[in-house]
Amino acid sequence: MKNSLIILLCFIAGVILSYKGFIPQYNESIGLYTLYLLMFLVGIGIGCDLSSLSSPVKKYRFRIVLIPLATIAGTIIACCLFALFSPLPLRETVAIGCGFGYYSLSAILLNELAGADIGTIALICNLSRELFTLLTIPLLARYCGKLAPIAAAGATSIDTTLPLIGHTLGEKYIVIAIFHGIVVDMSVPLLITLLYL
Amino acid sequence: MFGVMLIMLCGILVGYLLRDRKAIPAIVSKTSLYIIFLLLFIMGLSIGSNTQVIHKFGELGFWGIAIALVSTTGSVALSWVVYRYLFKKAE
Repeated sequence: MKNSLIILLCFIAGVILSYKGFIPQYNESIGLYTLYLLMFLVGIGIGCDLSSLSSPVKKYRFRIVLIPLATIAGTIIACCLFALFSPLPLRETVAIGCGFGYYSLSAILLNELAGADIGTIALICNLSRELFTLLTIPLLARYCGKLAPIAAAGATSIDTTLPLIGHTLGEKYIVIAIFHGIVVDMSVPLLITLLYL
Repeated sequence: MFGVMLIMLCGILVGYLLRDRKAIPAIVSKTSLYIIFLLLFIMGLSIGSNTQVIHKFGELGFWGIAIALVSTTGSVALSWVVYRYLFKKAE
């Protein structure tokens, strides 16, 4: 709980400082290098105990494929239902949801395909998904099953949310989260492009 | 994503070479947490300087957050079904 609060405060502090102009020159590559540093550390953690990579694969086999499929199908079904009750069109709603937390890519794609407003909603939506997940990983793991944090993380289960997923669920869920992240990540450009054929 | 995976593979190699040092997993786990805090701060900086998002947040923010909540709930619900019927038995 304490960590979730710090995460939220860090994000809010960043928004305020940058909006008020206290940090004048923001450079996009700083975020990327920080992410790389995080992934390097995650790699070291895995390398220290390589058995955590192979044992879940042996144990669950083909069932691992069902996890990313459930994430993708769950989001699409929920977005279709939501579109029935909202003024936003069905295609745009599904396309925004299909960012699965991969806000940079989905916002850029939808900016091009559906205009600036939909692109902005996609950015807010997918950033919120990443933030919600980071804040609720312990709660989801406790009350919604061990796969829930991975499903909520969507495409980010391979990057930003991976260390917390490993920390909360245990090392053997890391390989599931990585596989899930790869499949969901690749589905983002695929699904969005298919929706706008 | 491929950059991320390449970096992770380099980390796995380094971790494998250092696998006999028992203190490393705890240090890595603690440091990762601080880097996540930093990453979220940087994400905040990026949003705060995005004038399009800041100016339109009043108008579009609600829909973005609503779709995020709805789609996350949908994914979590289906993952619960998969966990309940396909994974829990194997635990």
